[in-house]
Amino acid sequence: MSWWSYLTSSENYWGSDGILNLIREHVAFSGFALLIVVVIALPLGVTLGHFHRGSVIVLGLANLGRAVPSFGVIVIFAVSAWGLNFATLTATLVLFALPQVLTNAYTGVAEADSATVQAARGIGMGHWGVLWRVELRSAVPLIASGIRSAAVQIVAVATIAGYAGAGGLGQIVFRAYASNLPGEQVGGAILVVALALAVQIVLGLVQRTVTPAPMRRTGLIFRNRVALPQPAAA
Amino acid sequence: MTATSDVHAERGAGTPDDEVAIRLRGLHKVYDNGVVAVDNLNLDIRRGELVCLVGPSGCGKTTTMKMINRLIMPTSGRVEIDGGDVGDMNPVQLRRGIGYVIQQVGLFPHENIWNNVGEVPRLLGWPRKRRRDRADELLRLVGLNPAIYGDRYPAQLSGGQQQRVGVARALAADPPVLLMDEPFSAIDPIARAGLQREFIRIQGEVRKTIVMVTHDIEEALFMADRIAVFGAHGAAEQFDTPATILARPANEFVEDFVGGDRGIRQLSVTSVAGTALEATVVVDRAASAAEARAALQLRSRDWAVVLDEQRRPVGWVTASDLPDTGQVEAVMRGADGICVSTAQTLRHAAARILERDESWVLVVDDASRELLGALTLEHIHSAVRTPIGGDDRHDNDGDASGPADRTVGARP
Repeated sequence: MSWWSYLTSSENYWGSDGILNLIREHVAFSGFALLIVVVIALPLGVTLGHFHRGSVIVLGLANLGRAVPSFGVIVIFAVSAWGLNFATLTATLVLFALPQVLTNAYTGVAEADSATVQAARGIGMGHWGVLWRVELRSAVPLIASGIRSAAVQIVAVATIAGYAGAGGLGQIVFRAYASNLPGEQVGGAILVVALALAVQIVLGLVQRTVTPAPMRRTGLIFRNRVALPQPAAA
Repeated sequence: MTATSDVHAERGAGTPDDEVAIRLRGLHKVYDNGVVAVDNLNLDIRRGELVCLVGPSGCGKTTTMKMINRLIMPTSGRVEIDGGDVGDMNPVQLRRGIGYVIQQVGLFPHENIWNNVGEVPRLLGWPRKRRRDRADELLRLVGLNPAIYGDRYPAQLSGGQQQRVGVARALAADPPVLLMDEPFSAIDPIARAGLQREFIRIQGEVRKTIVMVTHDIEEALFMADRIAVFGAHGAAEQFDTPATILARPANEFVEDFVGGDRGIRQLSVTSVAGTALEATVVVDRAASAAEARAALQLRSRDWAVVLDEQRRPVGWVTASDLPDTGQVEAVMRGADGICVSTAQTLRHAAARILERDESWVLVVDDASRELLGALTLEHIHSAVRTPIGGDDRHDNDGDASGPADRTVGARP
């Protein structure tokens, strides 16, 4: 069966192993992982950024996240005592995406225009005022970018769950690989790409909506902004 | 130091309490790395006065300014505003009552100009309508049309326009005190000169107590009522009017810092008002040539000013211009370019004299345009050599120009 006929046969979409259900699973555990990432990384990054503290930790985490291959992490969890289940899968996805959001939140807040911050303090804004009215607003594009790239990465990495039989779109790819069905294998990969692109575009629209009007610059598909935190000045 | 010589022996001290808006006493700042930024500073800044803190980088002028609104805490000493120790005040509340302008402006990029100007009123809880009205008023004051600029964003404005908005924002809640940190340094030189002049005009209207930090002595000489020249180690070497600092620098450091050509530059900061003038022979425009000639002979002079009914110069005549018969008005020379007003500086007057065939110009009152007397290069020379006590460039009531009383009249 070619990938085209696989994707265009309606019977492949229904049932518990059908494409629609696998997409639902994929989105569910990706979304859950993203939620955890945001709940942890956003307050932490924003707080550290406001006080300009902990850039070494943030930088280290960011580099660690980039250096550790996700497949390796997932295998470590798979062979560990816990095995690959919903919890370990989520933990893997969180570990993988957290540095991205943390770094962007930290950098967005810490590197809000220092003149604006100085002026805001000088005219009588307290910590909350400066954070809410100045730093967070200017950090919105970077924070949104971080969440968006994290989401896309989570969706892509979550494919690997299929390797351990944990469901999601990866299940199509790995089962087809095991049964030597290249058409279905390619079809599954196309579905993952399509889902990732859809997430990128939807979150792009969200990002555009939440960004203050004069700061709207980011394109819908390309130009995710990735922050590289600078080591703190002495 | 004995008790009798304490406060009043310090430089800048000794102004009566009710005139002092900001008082710095024994102000001392040592940073964590041991650098002494400000060393036992005492300054009294009068209400409604524009004081420039000027000095080389690292002299502590910015640190001093930031201790006034508690952006920096002094190591020891006190800052008082209207008699209250700012160390006892909530820093956030304190800053809402003090205008603040910085070199990089620091407007909120995501807010339009109306909201930028209305930020402090918003913090103070003013209703929306009142904030908008106040923002409109201030934008007009700084020369920006609110209908055009109000809904723009800072990035859509030039640097000079942004700093106008910065000034408007600082004035929004009508604070009595304004702190300005190098407000015009980042603006290109042509726009800067215009902005400086315009700021002096605005200050004439709002009369705030202003502390302005600058490294540019020319800017300080042009704008300040008084200048505090900081030395290398966080102490004020001299605190006085621009004219006095130019005429009598307190020490070699100030002299070097102020730079060369002090005599010439003093002309730019000394106003015509207050300079001794020479009495002139005057004749009424309706007088006859014979009457004019008689007046000149009586005073042994060879020229006279022709005045209208309000004693405003309309022309002048020399003895040789005068015919045997007829009216003065028929033969007089025009008054174009022979008058300077009391609001102008000695530099204007000197330039005017050097551009003329005669060695004098007439001085008229800035408001009434009435004749006060004639000014020559000799008067300018003696004005520069014996500087007056206060700098009264912004204070031209004209009553210092006594010689008008001695003007020799020939009124028919």
